[in-house]
This record gives sequence, C-alpha cells and structure tokens, in this order.
Amino acid sequence: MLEGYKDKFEWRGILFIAPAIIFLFLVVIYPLFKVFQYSFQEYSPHHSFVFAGLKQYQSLFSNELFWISIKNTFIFTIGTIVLDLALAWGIALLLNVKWPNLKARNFFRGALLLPFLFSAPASALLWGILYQPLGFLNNIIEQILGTPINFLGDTRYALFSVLWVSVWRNFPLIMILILGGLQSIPPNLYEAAGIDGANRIQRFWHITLPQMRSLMMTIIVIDFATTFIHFDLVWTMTKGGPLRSTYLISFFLYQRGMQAFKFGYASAIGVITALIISACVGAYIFIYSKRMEARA
Amino acid sequence: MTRKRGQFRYFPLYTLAVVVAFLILFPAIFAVLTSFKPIREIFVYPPTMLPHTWTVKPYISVFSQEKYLHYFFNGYFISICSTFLCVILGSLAGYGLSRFKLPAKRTLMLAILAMQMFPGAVLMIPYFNLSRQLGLYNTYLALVMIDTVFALPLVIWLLKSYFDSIPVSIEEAALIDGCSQAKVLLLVVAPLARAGVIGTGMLAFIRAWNEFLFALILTKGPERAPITVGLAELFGQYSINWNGIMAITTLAVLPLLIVFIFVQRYVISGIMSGGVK
Repeated sequence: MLEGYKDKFEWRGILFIAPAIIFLFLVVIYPLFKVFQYSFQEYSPHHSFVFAGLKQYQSLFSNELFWISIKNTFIFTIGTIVLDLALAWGIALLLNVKWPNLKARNFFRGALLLPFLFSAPASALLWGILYQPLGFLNNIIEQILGTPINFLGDTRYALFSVLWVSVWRNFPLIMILILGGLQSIPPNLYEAAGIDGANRIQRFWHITLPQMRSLMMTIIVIDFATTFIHFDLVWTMTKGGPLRSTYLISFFLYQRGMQAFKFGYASAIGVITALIISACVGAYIFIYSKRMEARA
Repeated sequence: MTRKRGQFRYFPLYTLAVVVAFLILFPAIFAVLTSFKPIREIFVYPPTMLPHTWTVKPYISVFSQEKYLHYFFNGYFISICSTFLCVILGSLAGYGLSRFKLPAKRTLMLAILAMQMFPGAVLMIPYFNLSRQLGLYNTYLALVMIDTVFALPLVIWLLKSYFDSIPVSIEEAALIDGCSQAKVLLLVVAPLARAGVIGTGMLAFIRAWNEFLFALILTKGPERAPITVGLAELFGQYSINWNGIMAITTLAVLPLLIVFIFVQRYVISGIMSGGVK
C-alpha cells in the first residue's frame, strides 16, 4: 500500500522539489561557477574582465598577508571548535543529569540557548562594552592581576577576544545537538552496564562516547566549515587589526574585493578558501570512516 | 521529612545551573541594564552593574532617529519575506522528498546536506557583481533571495524528516475518500506539519534577521539595509553613548526573544531531530 502510493505519483514528486532545486541552482551553483571564472581573470573598470590565466593565484601565493590570514584563520577555527565542544559538552551533561523538575531544566535549556539569538554585530557590541579598556572585565582583571588587558587593541589578545565572542554565539546550538544525542541513547545500555558493575566514568567512556561519535563528526564538520569563513565578528570588532593580528581569510577576501575592487584576485582567494575547506572536511571524513572500519 | 531531604539533594545542581546561566547571559544582562542608565552613569569607574536612576531616554532617542526606524523596518521586511519563501519552497521539497520515489534521491539528500555548510562568503564577489548587472544592488529582493538560499537546505532537511514522521496512511485514507491531491495537502498534511513548519520557520527567521555580510556588501545606506548593518556601524563609537547603543541592541534582539519563548519547544525539537538523523 505504502509503495503503491509512492509509485503512483512519481512524476509529481519532481514538481514538488523542482522549485527549491532550481532556486538553489540559480542562486548558489551559478555564482559558484562565476567565482571560478573570475579567478582566472583580471578586472578593471574600463575593460571589465580579461583573461589572466593563473596570474591571480601566483600573486596570491606570494603574498605574505595571505599566509598570515591562513594561519590566523586556522587558529581561530580550531580554537572555536575546541571551546565550543568543551562548553557545549559541559552544559549538555549538566542538563542531562536527572533533574527533579523538568520545567526547571527546560527553563535553563531555553535560557542557555539565548546567545544563539544574537546576531554577530549585536554580540560584538555586548562584548565590546565589557572589553573596554575601562570596562567591566578590566575592572575585575585589574583587581586580580594589577594591570588591565587591552582586549581588542593588543596583538596578543585580539584574536582570542574575537574568538571568544564567536564561541559564545556558537556553543548553544551545539549544546542542543549534543543534548539531543545524549537523550537518544537507549537507557537499557546504561542499565546493562550498571548490572555489570560499571562506574560513571566507565559508562561515559564505553557507552556515551561511542554512541555520540557520528553526531560529533557532523558537528565538527559543520562548525569547521562555517567558522573557517566567518567574517562578521572580525569586520565589526577589529577590522583585521591591530597589526593584522585578526586578519582572517574572509576579511582578506572582503578587503581585496570590496575595498580594493580586485575582483579577480578576491575570487582566487574565495576559490582557495573553498578548496581548503573541502580538503579538510574530506580528509577528516576519510580518516574518521577508516578508523570506524578498523574498529568494526 | 523525606520530601525536604529530596529537595535539598538537588541544591548543588540548581546552584551550578544558576551560576552557569548567569555567567553565560552576563553580557546580555549587562547590556539591558546599561540601556536604562542615564549618560552620566556611563562613564563612572569602576563601572556599576545596576543603574542608580532608571531612565527610558535612550529608547526614546532611538525611535526619534529616522535612520534606525528604516533599519528595523528593513530587517523585519527582509526576514519575513525570506521566512515565507523558505517555508513554501522547503515544505514542497521536503514533502516531495519524503513521499515520492525520485531518481538519485540519496545523492540529492547528500547534496542538500553538504549545501548546509556551504561557505557563502566565498560568493561575495559574484553576488556583488551580478546584483549590479541585474539591477538588484540595494534592493530587498537580492537580500531576500540570498537569505532564503542559505537557510533553505536546513529547512528542506528538517521538514523532510518531519514529513517522514507523519504516517502516509492518513493521506491515503483521504485520497480513497475522494479528496483531491491538493486538498489532501492543504487540509490533511498542512495541519499535521504545523509544529515542524513553525520550528523550521523560526530557524529561517533567526538566520535572516541575523545575516550581516551580504547586507553589508549589497546595500548602500539605511534605505535598504537591515538592522545588523545599523548595529555594526555603531561599533567603535562607544565613548559617545553606550546607553543608546545598548538600547538599540536590546531592541534588535527583543522581538526575536519574545517569539522564541513561544515557539522554543518546536525549535529545539526541530534541531534535535535534525541532528540525530
């Protein structure tokens, strides 16, 4: 019966998905093709686009700023992922213990999800005030360390200060995903382990973690791909400074494209960035599935 | 007696939860309190948490600036249009993927999943260039389309799994009773899918409301730019009027917060089910 229904309207199925697919194709795939095309061209206001071969890529790779951006972007991305996971796991475990009152738990769950509602510029403003040289955080830090910290103006701290805001915005969604994963682990696994005399840590290590593995892979991949190209916070808070210490690849792309109007060059940055992301994600998934095979 | 002891047992848990929630939400709490401070309390050092005298002047000054009314209106208009477009295209595609045999369905689903993490910023240059060529620069349409396209893969994915959870037999029964396919969709499926549509619609709205990069490069001035652009240009102007800035920030999040409180459970269950699959 179920299959019959599915067979009967097969051609209509195409009609259902066609609008979305055509839309995605026009607004993503076509511009994606364009960015490839531009990256082999040189743009000037008079002649528009002219073929330039690999010129853009050559000058990109010999640009010191490109390598600085790549380095900063990797620090920013990996730092964000690590802190995201640490915070999200910690809070998800706290929300997953046996609460006496489910309403109270759901209230905290909702409250802790709030940073997710703040746009990057809004979060930048919230943290910007706290980061002020004479701001709230520095008042505390001065009492503890004796000297204030110039969060956004010091090359040693600027990247980390922006990174922290990114973590603050990112972790709630990951926390909810982890919580969902934790709650979908069949309770009889824990019961069986309890009968076998496994303690809390053993249960966490041998049941929780293995059950969460594929979800963790999904989270890491998505977090990596989105953070690697993150632009909003850096643009709002530091504009790449001080002394290029927060120059991320996305900011480099913006600066060359939208401020210097070097469309060909900026497109080459875009292509390389997309390739780096695909390569890292591909390698990660490959290693992950190899390890899974070895385990099985 | 035992009841009292039982409650006391959970005291550490509640304390920990309150402390964690306070630390995480501190910036937001501080912002709201700052927005009610008069300007003379902004520059005191050490900074204070609570306002000495409460004032709503910062809020009044926001509404008296025409620029911000534009930013807010644009933000709402773009986000609402994009949410509707997302929900319409997403429900159709999600329903199609859930109910029909399609060629290369697995590949299609994987492509949609991969698109969910597509690094949109890479397309900055073509979007800028194409929007100027097509006359879409500084228009609502360009931003609505871009906001829609980047939320759509997630919306399709979540709605597909939502439709999967609605039994086909209900629809078949209606069809046998002589309902047309269109009627089945509108009168049988749509009401059943309501919770899923609300949850994913809210996610699409949040994404559109918070989108910044493309709003920045595809608009010029407050005429068409949404509130995120208005917020970003305030950064660095701190020493002038923090209280006003925090009032705008509060106003930019408040509507989202109010709607979110009502639809929270749909959003959370949507995210959870999407993640587990």
